Amino acid sequence: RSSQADYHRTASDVHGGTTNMIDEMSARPIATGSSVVGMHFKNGVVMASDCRISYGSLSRYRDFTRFIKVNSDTVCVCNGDSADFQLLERTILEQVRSDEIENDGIQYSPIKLHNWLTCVLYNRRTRIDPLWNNFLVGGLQDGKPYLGMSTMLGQSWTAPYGATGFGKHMSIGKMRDFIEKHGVENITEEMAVKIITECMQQLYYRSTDAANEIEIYVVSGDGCKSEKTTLP
Amino acid sequence: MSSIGSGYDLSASQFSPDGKVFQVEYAQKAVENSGTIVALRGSDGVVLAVEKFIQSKLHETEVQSMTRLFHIEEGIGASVAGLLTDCLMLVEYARDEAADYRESNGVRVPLKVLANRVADYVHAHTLYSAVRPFGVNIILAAVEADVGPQIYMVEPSGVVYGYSGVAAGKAKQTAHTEIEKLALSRTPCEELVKEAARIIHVCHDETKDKAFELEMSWVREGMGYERVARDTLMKADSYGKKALDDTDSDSD
Repeated sequence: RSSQADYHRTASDVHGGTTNMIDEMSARPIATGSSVVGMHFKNGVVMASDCRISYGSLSRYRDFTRFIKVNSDTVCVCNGDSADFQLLERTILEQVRSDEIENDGIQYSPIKLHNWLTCVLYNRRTRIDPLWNNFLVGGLQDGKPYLGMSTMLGQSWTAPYGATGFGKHMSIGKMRDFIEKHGVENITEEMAVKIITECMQQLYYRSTDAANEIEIYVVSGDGCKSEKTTLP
Repeated sequence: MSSIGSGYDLSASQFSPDGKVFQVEYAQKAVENSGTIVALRGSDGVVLAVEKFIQSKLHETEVQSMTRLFHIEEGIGASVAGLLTDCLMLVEYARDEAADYRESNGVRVPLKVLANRVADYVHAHTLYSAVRPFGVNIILAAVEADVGPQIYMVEPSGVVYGYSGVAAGKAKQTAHTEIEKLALSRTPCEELVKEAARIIHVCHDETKDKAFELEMSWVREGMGYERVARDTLMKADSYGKKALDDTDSDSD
């Protein structure tokens, strides 16, 4: 084969067409984070995840943050493969740095980040080489609470509550009932943090890959703050 | 000095019989037509000052369009003289190279490395007839952890030197004379800001040149790159004007 063909070598060229190893490597996540949850409250959004990365059934890292603070109005968090998360984290933070340097007043906002993430995730799934993460993008968009979900398949939607992984089964119902009962405009930060903490507690009890060291991010008119706590 | 090219000046890929590359010399002329820029290396940082000509009264000066001071990377600033659109290309290149270095190496690019990369890029445009050289002098400045404040300037030929103080543009000779009088390494940036403003005012030729706006920025130890704040700028500007008026009245 001519050397020009080297630019287009695929895995099957390398292995002589006898193995789908490279294809299969993409078919499962390796070091993973568990569920994340998030919801609106009257002045912003609250999002939480735990700090553990599991390597199959091994609890591998105990103090890993799966949040990316993009700016004071925008935060995202994900579950799934931690290496894929780190790639996206590098890419996003690189873009944030170059936005700061341009300093033309144009910055990330939740809608922009959500949109961009969805494009990237959908593109990768279409190439059958997914980034194995489901993201929650939250913050303040034009002063109003914004929460968007982007899955590894490239689905995206916005809602007043969102969760990934086990949280989809256990936490969505709880958050939805609470929101429908009180209405977002009546939910204070304390109420939202309490519900979110209860969700994380339930997940710790019932999900095998959840941990009790959790991180909670609150994005509101007062900026973005985060807190790490340990559930009892 | 200004010899007629007579046939050896049509492309950068040709030498003249007396060993010049005329296209590069013409590029340097483009820089000499532009407003003066000055860079001063002080004890705790670098001050960059620009004599920015105001092309028209209709221009919106508050919006800092057509600025000649740029933020390249965290803690690295640049000022440019010459053809503005060529300048913008080089600034973009410098930003890309710096970002790339950080992506690959995890740390900020050392200023020397960045200056050399920009110089190589500029030099590459002096080798082929398919492109023209950059009509730009770009000054890069930063405060490095181990060596302190640094200034590098790249010229249209692709040559790059480190400086303790440098100027480019219309009145660079006048500016250099003024810079040599300063005790740069012992002076903090807060003082140099005023001196830089004074030098720009000295360089500005009321009779020949249009109205100008003084633009200044600085890189300082622990503070990164910033445009000089409005009130500091105004104070430096009036110091500069006053110093010029004083020298004028002295010479009467």
